[in-house]
Amino acid sequence: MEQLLENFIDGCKLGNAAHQQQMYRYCFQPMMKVCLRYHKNMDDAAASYNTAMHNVLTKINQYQNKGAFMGWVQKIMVNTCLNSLKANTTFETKEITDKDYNNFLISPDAYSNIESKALLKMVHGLPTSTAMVFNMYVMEGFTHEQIADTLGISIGTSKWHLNNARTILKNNIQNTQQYENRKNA
Amino acid sequence: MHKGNKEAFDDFLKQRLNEVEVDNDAADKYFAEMNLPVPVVPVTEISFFAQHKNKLWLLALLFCTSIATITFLYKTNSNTTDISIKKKSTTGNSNNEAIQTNSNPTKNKEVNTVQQKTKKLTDAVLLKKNTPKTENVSNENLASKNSDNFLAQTKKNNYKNAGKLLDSMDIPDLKTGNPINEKNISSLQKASTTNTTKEPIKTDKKQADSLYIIW
Repeated sequence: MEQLLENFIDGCKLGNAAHQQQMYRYCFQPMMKVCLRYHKNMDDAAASYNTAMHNVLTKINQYQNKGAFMGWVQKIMVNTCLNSLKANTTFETKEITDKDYNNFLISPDAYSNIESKALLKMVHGLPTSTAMVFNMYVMEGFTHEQIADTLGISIGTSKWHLNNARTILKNNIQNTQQYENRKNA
Repeated sequence: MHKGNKEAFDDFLKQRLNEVEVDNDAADKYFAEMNLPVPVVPVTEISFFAQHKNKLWLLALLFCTSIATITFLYKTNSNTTDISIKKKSTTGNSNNEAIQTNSNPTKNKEVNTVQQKTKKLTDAVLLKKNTPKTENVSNENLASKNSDNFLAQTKKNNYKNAGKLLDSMDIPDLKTGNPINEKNISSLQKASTTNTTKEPIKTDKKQADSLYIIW
């Protein structure tokens, strides 16, 4: 698989159109997941994916074969998605308080019954700014400092958005679990 | 799941969200929507053989023809040198076996013809050399003699013609007043020779001119 990817990279560096299409297909599944976490519908996600892949294919000569290629591509994907969302998103300056710290313990059945698609729908139900912070922190591994720098917000606001996302998601998961229990009963 | 903390909750969410499957068939549809710029390969990156790939056969043909011509010329030159060497060997040594041992009959024929030609040439040169030089001299003398005779004859004829002309004109002699005949010419000549030594002949300009014209 790695050999195949290396062939694609070499072909794309030479401007081979066939290799570019193969590279697009190769990256589509893992990278569309990333885009779909940030965008609420498939078309918006695909638009961001296309923009990101355009950057990847045109700037592929800048890739120095150091580190994972897919990691480099994912970084471009996240930045493209954030740039497209930042323009239409306003961040309220909110500071986290001691009251906001909740207990995120939920029943073990909820973890087993919840489907990935349902969870993705829940993430899409989050406010855009909160979803952005949640994705950056939980999924991409950003720190609060990095999130604050990238989005131009304070660290406290970043922490509040993350706590808010967790609370909403926990409530949604518990609600679906209760709904399922009632359905089965 | 009994961790009961934020990290555990985050791990659960991450794991589940990564399980989301995306239909890969949609890739082609979205790829068609993407307007990738046509890559421009720099001219310097194109190799010489890639540029002149179609002309390589022409180069190969030229190479083959040049080699063929060179070999042909080399062969022809080697044949001529063989003959010259053999000629040298035959003339230098008394043995004629060198020619006889040659396996190629066509070459033998060529050698024979060349020998005949050289024989003829040498005979002709020898003939020229053997002819005595005196004969040549006599011939030259004869030619000179003939030319002298011819001049003398023409002189005589001129005199005769001049005499006839004088006779026909009836020009009177300056001294005697008699007409000058062919017979009188000799006497006149004698007189002139004798007179030149003793007394120069006094002549008018007109008379001299007339005489000059006649002569």
